[in-house]
Amino acid sequence: MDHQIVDQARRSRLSLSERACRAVLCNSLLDVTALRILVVDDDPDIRRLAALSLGRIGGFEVMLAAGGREAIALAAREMPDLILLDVSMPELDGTETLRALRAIPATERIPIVFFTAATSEAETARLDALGAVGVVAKPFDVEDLPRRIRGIMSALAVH
Amino acid sequence: MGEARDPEIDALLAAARVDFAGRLPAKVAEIEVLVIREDWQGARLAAHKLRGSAATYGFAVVGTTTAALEEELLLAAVSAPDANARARIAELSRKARAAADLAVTGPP
Repeated sequence: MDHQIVDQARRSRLSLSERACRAVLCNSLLDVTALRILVVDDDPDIRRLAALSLGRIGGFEVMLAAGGREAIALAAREMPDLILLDVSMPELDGTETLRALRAIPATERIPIVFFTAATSEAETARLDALGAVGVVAKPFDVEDLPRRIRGIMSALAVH
Repeated sequence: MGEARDPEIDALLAAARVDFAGRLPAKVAEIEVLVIREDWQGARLAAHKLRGSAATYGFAVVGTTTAALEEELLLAAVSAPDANARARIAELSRKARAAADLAVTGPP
């Protein structure tokens, strides 16, 4: 799986933010304590577990948004290093939210990882084509999710 | 959900799981209400959401049952389900309800 993540990152036109890059350059392994992740999901149960996983277990600084509009406003204000974005949401879904973020100069380069229960090959390819730097499947393992995110961010920083 | 190294994190995860389990029957009931109303798309979205969250919280049977239910509801949302499809939806709803009830009363 890791080689797929690296490959996705290599093909991405996006780069990690300068702050994240500095963290990488200063450490052989990514110093996640400096990195901030915005988790966007309309399901409060998923937000709760993702916050526990990435924040308490992974050591990231975690911000939460319940929908696309809230995510766009929060991203423009807080400039997270990565956005973990649910695909299936009411009102503004994940793909619409990605397009909106790409249309705003302040947020256009923030790496986006899709978060979805629909992980068929075709769906993953569709999300990849939209410019996502990775796809994380639901259900997710709370212990494994931080490692997945670190892998994606490290690959982005290298390339 | 794996072995957490920090006891405080273990406690937080356990509390989240108990809280989620207690609300599982209501989540399945929400799907059942939407099915009764023949709101197939609404029911599909609710099943989709529960599919992901239940399995993530460690309730695998609820997750797999609602995944199967979501597939049936996806077809129902495209074209009105016939009697056989309605029977499958009813049976999967019943299984999801049973699994949710077991999550509340069963072992952690």
